[in-house]
Amino acid sequence: MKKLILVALLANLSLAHSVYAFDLNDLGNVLKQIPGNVTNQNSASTPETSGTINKSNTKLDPVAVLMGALKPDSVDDEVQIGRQVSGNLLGASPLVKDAKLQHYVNQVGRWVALQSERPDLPWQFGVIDSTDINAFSAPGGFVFITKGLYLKLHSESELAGVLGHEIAHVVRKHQLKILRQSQFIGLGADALGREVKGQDAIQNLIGSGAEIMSRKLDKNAEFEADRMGMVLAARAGYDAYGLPTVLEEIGHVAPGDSSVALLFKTHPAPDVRFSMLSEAVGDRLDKLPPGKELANRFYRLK
Amino acid sequence: MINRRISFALCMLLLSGSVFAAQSGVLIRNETLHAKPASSSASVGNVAKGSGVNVITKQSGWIQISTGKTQGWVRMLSVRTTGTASGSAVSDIAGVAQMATGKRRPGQIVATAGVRGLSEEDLKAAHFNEQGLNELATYKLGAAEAQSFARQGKLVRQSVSYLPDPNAAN
Repeated sequence: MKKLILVALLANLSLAHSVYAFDLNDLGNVLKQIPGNVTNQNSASTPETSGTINKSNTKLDPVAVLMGALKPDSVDDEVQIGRQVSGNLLGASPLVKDAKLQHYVNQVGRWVALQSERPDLPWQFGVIDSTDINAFSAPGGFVFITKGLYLKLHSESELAGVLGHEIAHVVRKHQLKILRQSQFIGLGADALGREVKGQDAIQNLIGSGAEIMSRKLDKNAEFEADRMGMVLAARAGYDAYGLPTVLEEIGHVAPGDSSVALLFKTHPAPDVRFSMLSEAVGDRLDKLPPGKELANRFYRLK
Repeated sequence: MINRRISFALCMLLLSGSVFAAQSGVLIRNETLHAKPASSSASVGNVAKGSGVNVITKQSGWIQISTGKTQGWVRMLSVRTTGTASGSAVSDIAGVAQMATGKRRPGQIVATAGVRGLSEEDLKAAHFNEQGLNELATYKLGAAEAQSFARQGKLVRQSVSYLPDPNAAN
């Protein structure tokens, strides 16, 4: 719900310098590992900085470089990035050791994802062992919900709504899009990016932790994911109101509670999100046949 | 024996009643009160944005409320409810204001020593967990398995359009 969830990226380009985790040192490390003459090209253009990254190129953001390396429509590239980010998240918080739970969440999530415009992505869902209340997604179809949030749910339709929000971020490529909007694209990053492409480069760029998961998406991306999450759950035959019910529940958690610190930092306040949904829905779903809540089938954690 | 049963039943009644009795809410838009949880049902009155109400029960997209004078159903998305027992509207609003300013009441931070959260620092320090990724992949399902799961739950696909952005039209 992550932010709820999310692999959040930059909401505001003006914040880029302060928010981006990767600095030039990361880029330098990547470049050192590339066979070939990328660095030499730089130094050729600016002899005074020979042997180092051109200081006038400090605007070459490494993430932007990576994005420049991606083919816009390559699902493989997208999954590769998502895999790296997700591997890091699982390093911070492993999967809950409960195969039945993980299987169940994949059943619900895969069914909801089938209602989206990207039904054929290699969708993977996991419950991670954290008391925090949050959910995350990464490019390419990776979706995670914390045990803390899962414990707040009462029915399969609520789970479907939460997963639907995360699925929406992936479908709309919210994380990738914001990176592509970077002002640094076009400053040579595109060409350079092709040189640094590869698993090692991605690992170096994203590999310094799962901090990327704590970045904030544009609030409009969050509102859009809420609207889409409701609709995806409804398309799947669930009660459409699972997601707003969860938002209400989270809104009742004391704002100072540490379990919601990251969620509240990266998302608009739950009642603002609830109000935005209220405005967006209006009477539009009045004629929708009632969906199923499936509280009985909901897999309950001990 | 009979007395004991009656008092037990009374207790249960009070307990179950208290769940709803403690919940109040505020209308976040002007609404028509309906006799039933359906917009096609008869109107039994109106409630204005900002009105405080008591929550009686909920049903799918609808919530039954009492204004003191009248009872009726409105869309659940039209009522912002406050938490049970602990939450009052005032503290909720204070909480939102604190979120907006980024200030938190230190006294409210729940001590969770020994319990694993997931802070920004945890995320920063994380190391790639290949084994976890491999485990995650073992749970990956195909479309056919998901469809079978949906059939078991008697979930029926619906055709629903995405909702427009309420701010976009302007």
